[in-house]
Amino acid sequence: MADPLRSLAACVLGALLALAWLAPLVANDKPLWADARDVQAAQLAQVELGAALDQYRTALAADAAATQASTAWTELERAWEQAAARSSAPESEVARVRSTMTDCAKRPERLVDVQRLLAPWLENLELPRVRRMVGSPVLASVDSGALLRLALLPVLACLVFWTARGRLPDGHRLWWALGLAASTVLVWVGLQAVQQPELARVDTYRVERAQVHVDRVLWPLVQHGPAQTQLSEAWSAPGGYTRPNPHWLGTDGLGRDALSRLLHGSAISLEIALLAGAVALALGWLIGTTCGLLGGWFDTLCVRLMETLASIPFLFLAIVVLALVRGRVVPSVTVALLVAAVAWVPVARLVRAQTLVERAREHVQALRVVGIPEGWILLRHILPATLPAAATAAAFLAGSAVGVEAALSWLGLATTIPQPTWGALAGEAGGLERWWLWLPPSLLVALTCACLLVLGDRREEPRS
Amino acid sequence: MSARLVRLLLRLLVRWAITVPLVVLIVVLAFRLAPGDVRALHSEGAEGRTATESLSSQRFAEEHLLDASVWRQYAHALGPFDLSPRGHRWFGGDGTRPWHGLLALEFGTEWSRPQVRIRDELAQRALTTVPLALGAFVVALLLALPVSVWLALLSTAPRGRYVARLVSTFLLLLDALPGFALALLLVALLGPQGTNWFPATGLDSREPQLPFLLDRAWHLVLPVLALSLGGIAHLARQLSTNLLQLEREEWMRAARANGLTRAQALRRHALPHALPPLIGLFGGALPALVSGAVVVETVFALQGLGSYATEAVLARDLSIVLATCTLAAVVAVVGSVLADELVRSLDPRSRQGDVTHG
Repeated sequence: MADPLRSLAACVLGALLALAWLAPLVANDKPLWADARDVQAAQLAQVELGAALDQYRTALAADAAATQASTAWTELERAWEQAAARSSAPESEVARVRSTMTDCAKRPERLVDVQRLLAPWLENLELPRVRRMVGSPVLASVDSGALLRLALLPVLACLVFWTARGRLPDGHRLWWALGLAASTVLVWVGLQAVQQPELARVDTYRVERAQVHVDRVLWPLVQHGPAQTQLSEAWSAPGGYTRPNPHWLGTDGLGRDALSRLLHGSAISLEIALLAGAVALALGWLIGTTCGLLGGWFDTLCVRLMETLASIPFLFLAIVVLALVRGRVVPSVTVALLVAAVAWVPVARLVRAQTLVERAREHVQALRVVGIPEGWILLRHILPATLPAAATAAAFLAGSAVGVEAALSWLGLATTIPQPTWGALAGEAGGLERWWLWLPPSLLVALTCACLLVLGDRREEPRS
Repeated sequence: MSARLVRLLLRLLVRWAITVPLVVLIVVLAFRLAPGDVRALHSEGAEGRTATESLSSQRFAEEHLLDASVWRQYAHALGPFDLSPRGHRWFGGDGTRPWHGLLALEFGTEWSRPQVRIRDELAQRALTTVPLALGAFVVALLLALPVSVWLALLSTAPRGRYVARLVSTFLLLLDALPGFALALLLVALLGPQGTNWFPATGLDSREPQLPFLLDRAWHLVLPVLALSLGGIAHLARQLSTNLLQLEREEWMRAARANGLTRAQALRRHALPHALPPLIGLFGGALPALVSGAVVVETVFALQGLGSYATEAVLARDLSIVLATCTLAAVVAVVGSVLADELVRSLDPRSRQGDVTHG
C-alpha cells in the first residue's frame, strides 16, 4: 500500500462495518451464551406425575380389575416418560426405573413398589433433576438479514482492501472472497443445527427469570438492547461507570441505551452508503463507457442529461420524494436509490473521458490492427482500465451519500424503523444540551464520510 | 459583447426549459404517488379550519385538480393557463382567474392558509435566505483562497509538513461533517450555551442594542458560518492539491527563477491556473447552498425558503412545494450556466476547444 492515509481509511471503514454488522453480538440484552436450567418445565412434569399416580391409586382402590385402572396406568407411564425427558438424571437411572415400571405394569399388588420407585421423582425438587440448556440466545434470535450481512462481510472487507490499493482483484482472490463467504454461511448453518429447541426459552429469560435458573452466562460487551426501555433512566447523561451495567453513552428519552442504538443503527447508514455507491458505480460505468464508445447523438443526449441532473437542487427533490413516497418502499433503499440517481453523473463523466483516452491508446489500436474483435477489446482492455477510476469516484459519492442520508433523516424525512440511522439518532436528541445523543452519531457520520472521501480521492486525472 | 450576452441568455433559457419542467413533473408525480388523502388535511372540517376560510372537500379537489389526470395537473402547475373551473375560458373555466402556474409566475394561495398568497410569502422569506446564502457564498470564496495557498505553502515548507498534515486532516473532517452537526457544534461552542458571543436563533433581537443592519449581521454570523465552513474545507482541500500539482510545472520554476518568492509565484501564477476547474465547483455550490439552507434554517429557527419547503412537504401543500422547488431549480440552473460561462471567459483553453470542435 502506497499511501498510509488510504490504508488507514480502509481499515477504519472495515472496522466500522464489522462493528455495525456484528452489533447484535456486541450490544444486546440477551446473553451471548448461557448455561441454564429450566425449572418450570420440570416442576410441571413433577406435578403431572404426582396427579397421575394419585389417579392410579384411586382407580385401584375403587375397582382393581376394571379398565379404569389400566387407562390410569397408561397415563402414569406417559407422565413418567415426560418427567424423564425433562430431567437430567443419568441414563442408567432412567433405564432402571423404566424396566421396573414395565415389571409392575398391570399388577395392582405392586402399587407400593411403584410408589417407592417414583418417590424420589416426586419429592426431589432439587435442580439437578432439571434439564440443562446450553447455547447462545443472541445467535438464536438473529434474523436472515444478519446472516446475509455476515456472509457479505468478508467480501466487502476484501473489496475495501482492494479499493484502497487502487487495483482490481485477480481471479483467484475473488474465489478466496467467495470461499470466505460460503464458509461463513456454513458455520452459521452448523450453529443453527447444534442449537436445541429449548433455547427459545432462554431468549426471554429476563422475563421468565423466576422459572429459568441460570448457572453461567456470558454477556455481550454492552448489556443493553437497542429497544430495551427503562423509563426511570430517561435522558441520563454518560456516567456512573462504577455501577455494574453502565450506560456508556447515556440514554435517550425512553431510557434506551445510546451506545447500543448507535451500534445497531450504523448498519443501515453504512448499507445506504454501500448501496448508493454500488448503484452509482454500475450506472455510471455502463453509461460512461457506452457514451465513450458509441459517440454520436447518444453521447450528446447523455451529456445533456448529465448537465440537467447536475443542476437539480437535489436535497429539495429528495425531501419531496421521500416525504411523499414514505411507507411504500423500505426507506433506506429509497434513500440509497435517490442518491444514486444523481450520483452516477460524475462517475459517468469520468468513465466517459477515460474511455475516450483508452480507445485512442496505442496498444488498443494495435490490437485492432491485429484483428482482435471489437467486443473482446472492450471487455478485456477498455472496461478494466476504466474501473479503478470509476470505483474511486463511487467511493467518494458513497461518502456524500452518508452525509445526505444523515441530513435527510435528521430532518425526520427518512425514518427507518425499528433501527434508526445515525442522522435520525442525532435528530432524536431534541436539544443542544443533550450532547451525548447528537454528537457521537454526527462524529461517526463524519468519520465514515472522511474515510470514503480519502478512498475516493482521485490522485491522477485521466491522461489526455 | 452583446452577441455573447444573447448566447448566454439563450443557453440559460434552454437549460431552464429542460430542467424546470422535469422538476415540476417529479414533484407532481411524487405528490400523486403519496399515500393518504390530501383534501382531508386542507379542506373544511380539517383540524382548526373554519367554514368561512376553507373550501368544502369537493370544491377543494376541483380547485386544485386533485381528481383530474396527472397531465392536466402538470399543465396546471406549469402554466400559464389556469385549468381549474374558475380558470381560463379556453379550458372550460369561467375566466375569473385565467393565469396560473410557473410560466405566469402565479402560484396561487397556500392550501393550509387560503388568505396567504404564496408569491408574497416567498418574497418575504427570500429576505432571510438570500442574505444567508449570499453571505455564505462570499465568505467561502474569501476564505478558501488564502487557506489553500497557505496550506500549499505549508505542506512543502521544511518545518511545516506536520502542521500541514494536521490542518488538512482537520479540513477533511470539516468537509465530512454533516451540515446539521456543524451547525449544532457552532451553536454549542459560540452560542448562548457556550461562549455566548453570537445569538443562535432568529434574525433580530427583541431589544436591539445595535443599529438594525449590524444587529441582523450579528445574528447571521453563526448561520453563515454553518453554511459556508463545509464548502470552505472542500474548496481549500481541492485547491491546495491542485496548487501542489501545478508547482511541479516548468513555468512555475521559471517564475521562481525570475526572482518571485514561493508565495508570490503561487498567488500570481498558480492560483489563476488552478481556478477554472474550481469555478465548476462554485457553480455546483449554489444548489448546495439552497439545500444546505434547509438544514441551517431548521437549526437556527429561521423563517426562510428552505424551512418553508420542508414545512410544506410535511403539511402536504403541493402549491408551496412546487413554488419552492421550481425556484430552487431556476437558481441552480443560473449557477451552473454562469459557472460555465465564467470558465469560458477565464480559460482560453476552453474557448479554443469551441473553435476546433465546431
